[in-house]
Amino acid sequence: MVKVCMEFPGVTALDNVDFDLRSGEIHALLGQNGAGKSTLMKILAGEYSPTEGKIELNGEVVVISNPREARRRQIAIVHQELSVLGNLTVTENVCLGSEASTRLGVLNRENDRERTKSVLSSLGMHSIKPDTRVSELSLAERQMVEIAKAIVLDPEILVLDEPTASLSELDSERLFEILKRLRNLGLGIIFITHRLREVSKLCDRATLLRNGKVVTSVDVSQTPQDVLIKLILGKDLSDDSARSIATSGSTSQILEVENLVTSDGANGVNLTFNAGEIYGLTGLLGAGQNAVARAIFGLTPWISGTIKWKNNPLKQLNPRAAIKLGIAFLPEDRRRASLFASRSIRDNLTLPSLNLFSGWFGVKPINLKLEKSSTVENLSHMDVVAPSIETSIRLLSGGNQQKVLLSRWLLRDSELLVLQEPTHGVDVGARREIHKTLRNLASDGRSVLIISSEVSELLSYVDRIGVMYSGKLVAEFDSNASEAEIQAAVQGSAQGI
Amino acid sequence: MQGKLLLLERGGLLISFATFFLIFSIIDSSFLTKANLLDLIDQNATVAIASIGLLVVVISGGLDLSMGSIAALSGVALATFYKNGMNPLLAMAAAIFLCFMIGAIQGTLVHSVGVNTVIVSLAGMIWARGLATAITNGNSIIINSNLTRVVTVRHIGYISQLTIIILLSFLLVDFLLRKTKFGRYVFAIGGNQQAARQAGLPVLRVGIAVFALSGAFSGLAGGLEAGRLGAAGPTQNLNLILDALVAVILGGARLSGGEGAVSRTFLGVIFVATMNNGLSLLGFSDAYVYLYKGLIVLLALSLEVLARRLARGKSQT
Amino acid sequence: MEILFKDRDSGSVPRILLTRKRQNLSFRDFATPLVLIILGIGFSATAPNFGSYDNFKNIFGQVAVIGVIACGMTLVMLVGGIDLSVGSVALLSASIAATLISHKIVPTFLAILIAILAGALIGMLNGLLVESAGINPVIATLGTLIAVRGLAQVILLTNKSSITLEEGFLMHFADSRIIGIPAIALVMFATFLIGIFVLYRFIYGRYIYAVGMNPIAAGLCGIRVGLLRGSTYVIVGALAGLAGILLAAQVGVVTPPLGLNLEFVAITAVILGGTAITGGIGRIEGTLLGTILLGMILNYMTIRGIAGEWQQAVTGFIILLIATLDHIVRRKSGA
Repeated sequence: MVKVCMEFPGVTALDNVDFDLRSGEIHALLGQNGAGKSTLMKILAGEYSPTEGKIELNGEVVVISNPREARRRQIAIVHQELSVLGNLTVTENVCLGSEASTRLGVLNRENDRERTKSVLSSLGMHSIKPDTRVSELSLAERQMVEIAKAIVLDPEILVLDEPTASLSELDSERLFEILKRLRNLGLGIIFITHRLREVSKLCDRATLLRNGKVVTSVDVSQTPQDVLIKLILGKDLSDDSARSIATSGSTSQILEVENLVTSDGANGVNLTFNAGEIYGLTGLLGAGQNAVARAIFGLTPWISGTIKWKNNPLKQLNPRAAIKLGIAFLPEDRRRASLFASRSIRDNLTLPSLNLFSGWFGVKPINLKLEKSSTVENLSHMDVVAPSIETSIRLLSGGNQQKVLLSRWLLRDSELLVLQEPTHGVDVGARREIHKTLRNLASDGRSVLIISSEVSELLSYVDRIGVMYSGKLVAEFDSNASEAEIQAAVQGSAQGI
Repeated sequence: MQGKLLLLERGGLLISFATFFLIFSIIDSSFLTKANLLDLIDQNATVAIASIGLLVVVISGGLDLSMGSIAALSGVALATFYKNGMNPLLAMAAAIFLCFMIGAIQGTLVHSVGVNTVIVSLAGMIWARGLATAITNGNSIIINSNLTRVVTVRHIGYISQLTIIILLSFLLVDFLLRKTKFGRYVFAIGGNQQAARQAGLPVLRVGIAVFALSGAFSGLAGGLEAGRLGAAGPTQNLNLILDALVAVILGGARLSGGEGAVSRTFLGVIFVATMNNGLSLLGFSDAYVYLYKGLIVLLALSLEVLARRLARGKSQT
Repeated sequence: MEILFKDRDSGSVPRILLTRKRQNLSFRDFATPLVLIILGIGFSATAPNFGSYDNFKNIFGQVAVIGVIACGMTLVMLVGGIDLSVGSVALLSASIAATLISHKIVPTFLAILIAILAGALIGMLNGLLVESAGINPVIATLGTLIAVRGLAQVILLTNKSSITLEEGFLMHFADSRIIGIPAIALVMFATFLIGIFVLYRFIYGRYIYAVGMNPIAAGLCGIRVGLLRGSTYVIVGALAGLAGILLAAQVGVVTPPLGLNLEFVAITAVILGGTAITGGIGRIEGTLLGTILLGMILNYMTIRGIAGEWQQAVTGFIILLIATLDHIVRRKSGA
């Protein structure tokens, strides 16, 4: 791909990107969220047309105008968001778009089934039966079906966009074996990731994108780890965090979870945290940390176990009750679950707290002046940058959006904030500001529960880190622990695995 | 496990339908006569044909609320063509083709331009009937009895022309849905349109085809109704869309798309047909028919949703 | 009015502005008033009687009933639902009120109240069907449409299929005018005023927008989404009840076809006013303008002698046209 540019209205997603792939190599495409990796690949897959630039395949300039074209040219892409169809069977998914049929369009099911079986077994996925409905498969199995779908067409180029996001360590290893085998057969593989470990274990070359530009392209075997790390983060990890070493000093328990079991991943969790502390909960995907967060906010039923709030045992919560109690929840996907995109900052901020500006249980009209001044006051504490509180929130950067959402719960005086991946989609500078803000909240006596997979980031600003594995809390560390120890526990070493 | 879910849904429908049948045959002894049952098929032929067209649209994730109005327009078109000297079969074909094109236009608006399917078909529901009203000045057009005979002739004393057409339609759509690439793509688009597009499926073409198909079936239904009654007017097929929707939904199709089968829709059609026929046999005036029908429909829908929820609850620990 | 946020540490040094855009105005907000003005000018130019004050007062009277319903329908559509049964509900309320009044069973005021209550009850039924039972609103309200029309006609049957409203409060009301504007139209304007006030100054209104725009996020903020959505059906039901009475007063006779297709006209008005059928976006003032616009179009057609039979077709084409244009514009401006 030569000098590819991609412009979206108001945003230059890709700026003169040069990228090349050799056959028989695994080439990592690195960069922060929003750097342009997915966009570049979508161009290759025919989903977008570049504003400028060209693509050459085997020396020949080609135009890939739609996904069908891409498939014809033997480019296969496995997307980050699973795109398997739950209502169809495995065979139907794998052969989607390449079904065997007569000229009139009549399906040849046997042919499809045979092809699927052979692909699945060549990938070592013996547990998946071709006639099962995909909606009955686990997340990892669905990912495998997706990969099978890409392979069945005998592609020359295979693109994988964050494939290990929903895979366990074991499944990831298996995937890597498969990819290496394919590489040795001559395939060119592009592997998008933001996990360093995968790059060094699996990839031959790596290209780094930042803000739509190519920063550098290196040979992985020739490059030391710390250089790669520095490149991705843009700075050194170590020191400059605005951590106050002294915590609030209060050790009053605010939340105690005992033997909690839920249907979505908690298997007897025991957890306590105190007022004025920031607690980071981490673990492999599916280990149960998100299940705990959801249960605390009352989004899922508590099958057994107890949760105590300030030493009082609670009855099953729902979001309304949780909010009344003083618990707040900020889910991972802002756009889908927290933001009212075209509404103003003010609207987004005051929504759960409107009763503060009204009276008689909402029968009185809202006191607009009071609302406005409260909003301004709250935002100025958070250093949000925006032209006015009436600006539509979708115009703000990720970091600023997150700050507004945090303010939403501060206005409500929430005592416990449960945040899922709060710095996801937030640039590095804003991340540090959010850390600072959270620490200030802690010293004010509030408690924060952070669910995150970025252990090194957690270490820079939380008081304690809990590691979950298989639905149980298996280890707890304080901020003096090393990342290595914690990662080991994440992998299950505490269980002796 | 999937089998169990289906059994629950199908079982529920069969039971309710059987109960229904039983009740009606008890209440009115004329229900189970040969003459009546044959009438039942004829009078509800339009529902059957429209339902099968609607099924395809619903599986693809869309909705076509305009079916009744397009059927009425088709009848009016047919009558107009016939009155102006066209051969009856040709007139029917022309009317169906007209509705096919209207469907294609609606499909283009939905899939190419991207306008919401409810709005497009709702608008169609309004303007198509409006057009029929305008053309006929609000009156009905009487059709020569020759055409009527062609439509309602009975072979072997039992099977009317209409029955054959219904059967053929069902078989055709069943074949399309289960045995062709097109059908597979319809399910795929209904399941996850984005994923279908990423897989390189011709979403646009299939989407337009689906609406064109439902348009054609509406046209067929309307033309047959006009032929059967011997008259075409702007007030025909008023309840068609509700009947078809009920049949399709009771037949297990989800409005969100990706689910549905001809065999189950067939059961749904039988339910609607039985209800319509039973109510008219009982001799109620229009007002009561409306009332009872509305209540029955709401009840049946609630039960269906309940059954689905129970089934789903069982499959999720 | 701009508010600059102060940097926490450095006192009163204003931050840098990120973008120029302050307001959240979009093309959508201008479209309806613009079309109104353009068509208004065009119509007046091509039909001599159109632009007169008298004619406009007539237009207001003609669309009053539609407007009342459209006001409630806006709420329903803002939260992503739809109610196809309002025409039948109007008939029901008209039948109930007319029966009670003509047989002098209860005083007129009580009859009106009972009729409106009946509308609200049907609305509650719709709300339960859609939110508690989980039936798709299109289908659920189609079912109610049929059942309620049947019920209303049954009531009419007991009155030999039609009730004529005698001289009385309602008939006087229907004929009266205040500053020249028909009283019925004033009811419509009052309804809209209340609606606007509620949407912008009350918590309920904020919740409506929240639920319409992002029900998941609204739920996470502690809003009872199902209850809120259900309540919109109750409101539109009550308003349909009110509309039914106004309609009966206007026409003077309650007959079986009363209110037929009213729901579609109301939906047209809402869409013309800029509310999206998927919810979350839309202004209730827009619906008022949309109603007037619709009235203008239909009135113009009548003045120009375009037969009444064409009105339905034109209505349908208008919906199609507006929806298509709106969608194209929205796509271009970048979603």
